[in-house]
Amino acid sequence: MTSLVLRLPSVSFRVDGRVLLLLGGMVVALLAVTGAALLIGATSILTPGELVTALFSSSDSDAGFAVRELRLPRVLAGVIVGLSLGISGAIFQTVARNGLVSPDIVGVNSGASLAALVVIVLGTQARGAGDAQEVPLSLIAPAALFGAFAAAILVYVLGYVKGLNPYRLVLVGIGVTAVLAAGIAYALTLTRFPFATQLAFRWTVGSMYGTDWTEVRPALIACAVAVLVALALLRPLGILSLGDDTAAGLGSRVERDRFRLIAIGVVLAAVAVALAGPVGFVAFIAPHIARGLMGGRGPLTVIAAGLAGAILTAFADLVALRAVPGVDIPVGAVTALMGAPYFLFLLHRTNRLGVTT
Amino acid sequence: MLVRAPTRWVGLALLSVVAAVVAITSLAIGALDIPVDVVLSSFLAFDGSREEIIVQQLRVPRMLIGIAAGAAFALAGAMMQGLTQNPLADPGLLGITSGASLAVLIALDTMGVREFTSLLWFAMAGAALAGTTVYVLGSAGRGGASPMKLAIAGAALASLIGALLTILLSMQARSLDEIRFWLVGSLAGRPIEVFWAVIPFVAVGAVVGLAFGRSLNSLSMGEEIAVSLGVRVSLVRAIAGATVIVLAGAGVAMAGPIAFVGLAVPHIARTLVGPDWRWILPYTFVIGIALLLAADVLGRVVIRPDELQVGVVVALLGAPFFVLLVRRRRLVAL
Repeated sequence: MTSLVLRLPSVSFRVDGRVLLLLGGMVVALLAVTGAALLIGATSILTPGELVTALFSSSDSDAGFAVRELRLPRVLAGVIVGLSLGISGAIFQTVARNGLVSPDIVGVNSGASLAALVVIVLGTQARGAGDAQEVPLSLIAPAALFGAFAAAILVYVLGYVKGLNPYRLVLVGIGVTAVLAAGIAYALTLTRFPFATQLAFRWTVGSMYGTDWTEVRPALIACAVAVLVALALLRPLGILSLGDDTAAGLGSRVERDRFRLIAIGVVLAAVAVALAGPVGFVAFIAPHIARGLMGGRGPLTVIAAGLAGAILTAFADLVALRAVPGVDIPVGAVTALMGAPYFLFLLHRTNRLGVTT
Repeated sequence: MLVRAPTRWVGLALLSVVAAVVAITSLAIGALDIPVDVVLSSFLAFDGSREEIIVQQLRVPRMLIGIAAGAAFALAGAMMQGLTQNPLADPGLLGITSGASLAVLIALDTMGVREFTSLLWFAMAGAALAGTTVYVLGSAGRGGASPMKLAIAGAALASLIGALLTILLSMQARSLDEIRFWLVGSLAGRPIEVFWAVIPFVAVGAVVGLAFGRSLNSLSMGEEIAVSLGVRVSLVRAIAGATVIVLAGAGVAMAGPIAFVGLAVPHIARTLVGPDWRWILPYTFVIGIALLLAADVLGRVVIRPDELQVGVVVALLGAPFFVLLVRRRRLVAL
């Protein structure tokens, strides 16, 4: 196939036709899944014609409202979450040079959950029993963002012993996650009202239940900015993937670059977590799908991982919404059901750590 | 480090005294502080006063369950560490307690099982399934069961089980409301019958476990040497594995999933008596009891009049310990 060379200020790389074809195919797949998610809602199924009318006419019909105000933001949220997590996971796995690593492991998810739960518990206590109002997401999301960063910084600092060893990072992450999990379990016992328990519970697994435009718009902007920054860091990422010694030999400032990359990886994961809660395993599994399809570790794998994450999350949310009639299963439970067996399979296949594909 | 046998016996006796003191303290301290003489008189000359009823009806069962759970989790952790030659092994971190939790939830929720003795069997079955899965997955491939692989397999299995728990819970809000108080790990509010149902299992597990010191010593020299010393390695592994599952399953059934006791206590024992499993195991037994009861007392004191569940206290104390362990050790040795 033909290949072309892309030259941008910070990156230049050769792209062969097969890769472009694959990326195009993934975009088509993403459009198909999101389209299906717009057609199939919790209550009614539209025909494509009805969908187009609902999307583009400004009528106040039920279908128009459902599509524009309920389904579209939720589908977009799935895409944002999946894209961010996929790219974040690809960065983490490349930096750690280990396919078993993902942002979940540095405590981003549990940190966000715990912070969200604290706000929910305090919020419902402050509002009292009479006010059955849910704690607004405008309070929960920033808290989740904060929790994600705090946990990641804690794990990074605790895992740093004369440089950063990815294995140590993973183990410290497991320890910190375990203590955060205890905090989460404790916070869950503190909620006083059933609706607060339900809300808190959703923030322990990741759910896109009731996502609307006021949440999606800021997340969309944050995601776009973070993705652009991540793309600008693809070159140091490629150099780091050669190993610390080689990277240093090539003139890379290893610790600095690694810190930057982990930081942007954490930001991306935090965006996802602030929007939907801790959606597990997408960040881990998407890069594997991307590498499997692309057959390598080129910089474009990162983009492919983002697309794979978006497809995966959008699909998982569709399953979550429709699998059990009348029950909106948290999307995080579906992604974990899809991801964890694959993770265990991968572990099984791995001969020894450090050489996972 | 206590090296000579007489010193080690004295140390063990001292620790037992400490455990006994903590146990008596756990009868006295709580939402309502009760003087020690009232505690003692409730045993010797029960007069039916409110304080004495609290001691006899609430705190004695809680103490007994704490003793059983502390011993069970600590010994399970020690056996796992000896069996897998893995300093990071713990029934909580390796997913065994999650397996037991899920089994208990399924029994409660979808099968309507209510008697505790049946739940106990479910917990052990769940623990067995999860433990075997993690061990098989974590020990596959070249290099056998490396600590790292086991830890990661355990974390992954725990999140898979967590997802299943989540799906079950999101379908039945009422179960969530009940089970959240059990999932956190607590000794509070269990009737004394729970203790009587569990104690045969814990006792058998403890006796078998404590008798395994010599075998674990041989295993720690490597499989080949153990075989050449006449140890039937597969048999030892099978029995020790079964003991872990009985102990961890019983612990979860009575107190919920409590992590870190099984991780930290054997290390504390090892720093006291060195690498001899014949001593590590009894020390682990006594320290485990003292530690869990102390954590429970601490949980009653820190946020009075509310209580911090023992599972939370133990995690808050144990996690820094784990992190320290990971930071100090050379990772190659892990």
